Amino acid sequence: MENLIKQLKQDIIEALSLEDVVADDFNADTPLFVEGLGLDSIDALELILLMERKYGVKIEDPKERRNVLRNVKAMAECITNHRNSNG
Amino acid sequence: MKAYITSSGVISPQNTHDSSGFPAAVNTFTANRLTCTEPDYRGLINPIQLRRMPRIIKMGLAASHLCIQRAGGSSPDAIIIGTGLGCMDNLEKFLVEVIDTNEHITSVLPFINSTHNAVAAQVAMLLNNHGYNVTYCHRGFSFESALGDALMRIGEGEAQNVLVGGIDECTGDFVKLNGYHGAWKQPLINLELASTKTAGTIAGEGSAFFMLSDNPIHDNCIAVEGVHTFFIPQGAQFDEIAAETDNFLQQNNTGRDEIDIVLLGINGDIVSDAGYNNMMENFFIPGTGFAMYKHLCGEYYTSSSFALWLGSVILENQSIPGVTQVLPAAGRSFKKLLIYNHYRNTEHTLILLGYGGI
Amino acid sequence: MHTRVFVTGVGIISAIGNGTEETLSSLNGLRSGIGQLSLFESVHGNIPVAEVKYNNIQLSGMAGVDPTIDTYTRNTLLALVAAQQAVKSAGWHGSTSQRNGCIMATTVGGMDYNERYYKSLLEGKYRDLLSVLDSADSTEKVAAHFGIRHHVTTISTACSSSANAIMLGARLIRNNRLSRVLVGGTDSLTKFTLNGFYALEILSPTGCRPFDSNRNGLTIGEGAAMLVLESEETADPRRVLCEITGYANVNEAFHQTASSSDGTGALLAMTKALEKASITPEDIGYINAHGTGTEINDLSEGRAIDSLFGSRVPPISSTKGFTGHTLGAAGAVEGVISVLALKNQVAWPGLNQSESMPELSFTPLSTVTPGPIRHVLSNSFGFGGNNTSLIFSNL
Repeated sequence: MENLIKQLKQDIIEALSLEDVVADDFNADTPLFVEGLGLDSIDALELILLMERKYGVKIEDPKERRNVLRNVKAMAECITNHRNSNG
Repeated sequence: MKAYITSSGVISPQNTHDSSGFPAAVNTFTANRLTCTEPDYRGLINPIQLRRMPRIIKMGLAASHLCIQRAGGSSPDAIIIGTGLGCMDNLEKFLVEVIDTNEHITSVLPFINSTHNAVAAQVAMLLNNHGYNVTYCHRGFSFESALGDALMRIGEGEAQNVLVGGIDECTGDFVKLNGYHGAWKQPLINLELASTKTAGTIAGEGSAFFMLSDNPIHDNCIAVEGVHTFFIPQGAQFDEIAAETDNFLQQNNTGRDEIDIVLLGINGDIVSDAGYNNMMENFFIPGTGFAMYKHLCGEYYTSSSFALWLGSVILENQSIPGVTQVLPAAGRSFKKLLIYNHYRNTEHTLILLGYGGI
Repeated sequence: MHTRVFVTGVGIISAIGNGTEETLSSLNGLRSGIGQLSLFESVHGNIPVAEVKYNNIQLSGMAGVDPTIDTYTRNTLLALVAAQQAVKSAGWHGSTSQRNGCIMATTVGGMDYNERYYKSLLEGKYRDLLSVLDSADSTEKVAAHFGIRHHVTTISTACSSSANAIMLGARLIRNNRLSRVLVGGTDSLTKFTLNGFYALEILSPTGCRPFDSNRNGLTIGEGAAMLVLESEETADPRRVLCEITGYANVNEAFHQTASSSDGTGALLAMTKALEKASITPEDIGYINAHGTGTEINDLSEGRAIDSLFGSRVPPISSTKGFTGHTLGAAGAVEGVISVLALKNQVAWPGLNQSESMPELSFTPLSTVTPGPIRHVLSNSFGFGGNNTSLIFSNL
């Protein structure tokens, strides 16, 4: 999980061009939207694509999305669950 | 229908963003592609928004910010922009990803940014501006279309202040693709551009924004008195160019003999420059001054926006900077300056400037 | 001194037909042009689209262009077909007069070629195609065809593009800068836009249902439409179809792609267009809405319409259920449909309606509805908060 969180942080920084942000600037619990990193709806789309393309997890339900994308820990848990259920 | 330039903001391959006057030092390049000298965008644009902006949007926001600040900071009544290529960089990025990944794209942002009006939209968002907002994308007519629309907007009484911009970014793919058509010279010193008698030119880019107003803010304000475009698909003959120019001047109550200085889009290409040479030799009266600008900014679709800035600086200072001069003007005071440019001899444009001070 | 602006000719080609007669027949017969993707291969091939039912070779024939010449993109072919119809119906031939203009709009330009040949182009192949890839190509080919030299330009403001082209043309006539102007837009279906909208998650998997409570996105269409606008002085009264009395463009400045939930931009555009036309909301006989079928647009536009019209929303529909969303051409396609509505004194329904939106006071038309219609309000709202409203009026 640790490694996945580390990787996810890097993925987020790259995908969203967060040039002034490094992995140490936020932790797994930092809110991604509104407060914390202050991401917006366009960033959300990018993260959904990231989850789908890189991690094979497709999240279509808006409520589930808000839940999964609330912080890096939730994203990592979702990916891990998906991996476990797919064997 | 005329309007007054009350401020400008220019990002170009020259040191033009620091102040609105002619730069003290001219940048020389040994290249066939000139790249902008850019400000530190962090001082001008919110870093949170800055992060995912393609370069062209940064150039547009920064130049428009400088222009608006210098005009006193008020939001304009309209924002009208011309760009020949739009956000080509992001368009290419999205296109290549669609092709390379067989439609399994990983990022949607380049698609959003690739709409041609992205710069105008971002400027409006930054200013929370709800005014008229249009983007023109028509090669060598892009900037003049925006300028003409701005003049009409003011003339209609629909706007008192209009932010007008011309912006194009040079991308690697653009240079490569046009290179196959022999568009570019071998790398050379840019200041020597006009003296080469060979084919091709040098690529350039820039972002130039102007605040046009219905009232001059001081006596020496430069007026944009008229804009004219003509499209001759098979390539224009000299007499056609002459007729169009005469017509345009006449419509603006001006004769050839009243033009003190002509700023020409000379770009070093031996075929393209024939039209400019003819104009210099045969059209205007002896003593008319001539200047050029593309050796400073390169060739790009909206380069006439750089010319508009240079033309206004020439009139404001009542002198032609040596590095731009082709032939000196005989007069001591300059009232009228004409900008003439063409793209591939099919798209021809004329802008008439007047000096308010005399 | 302001001059009245008349529409004297129209041309249209879209998923519901070639020309005004076929278009009218489809509209009256409630036949949608939405169907299966066939123009190109795509992993999104199951997403409904609204294609023009002609391939490029057929379009070349219709445009009078040699099909073996490869410098005509689909965009340009569509534009030429529509332009020729418009100019013919106006009884004009084109000319080099300074008092004529050609103002067009597009978002994709020659993207169909771009996506097909890009890699090869970068390798130096197909060099003659380089000049046809951009947004200006269709405009210049149309202008050249009719010998138009002045006021030749292209507008690109996403989905409001051709509405803005119509507006500019109208202003040039109204301000006595031109006597006659060919205006309109063209956009062809491309993998680029299909993938872009797919990634934005606003494509309907079932076909768009504008202003329906179960709407699930837009359906991309393609097409071209052109109008000839003339001043009162030059227009032959027998050719006059209607008048453009109002227009407005504003920027919502809210978000790069989405509109605000209360529709402030839409409201402002419609209000200003009415002011320009010197008419009140009560005078509008039909609203041809932007109505893309996305959750956000229809709510935003719907609320703005409710705000403006209060309890008396006139007959309203989005015709995108017929033509799909023709992107940069939408303003002109729907502008021509608005002209047809006035000419025929009829308004057409929104297709695929089943449940009204609870947030709105109105339900779009569900049947072909006769007038009287004195004024039509046509909305086109684009990415970047670009909102344009046009008003077409009977004389």
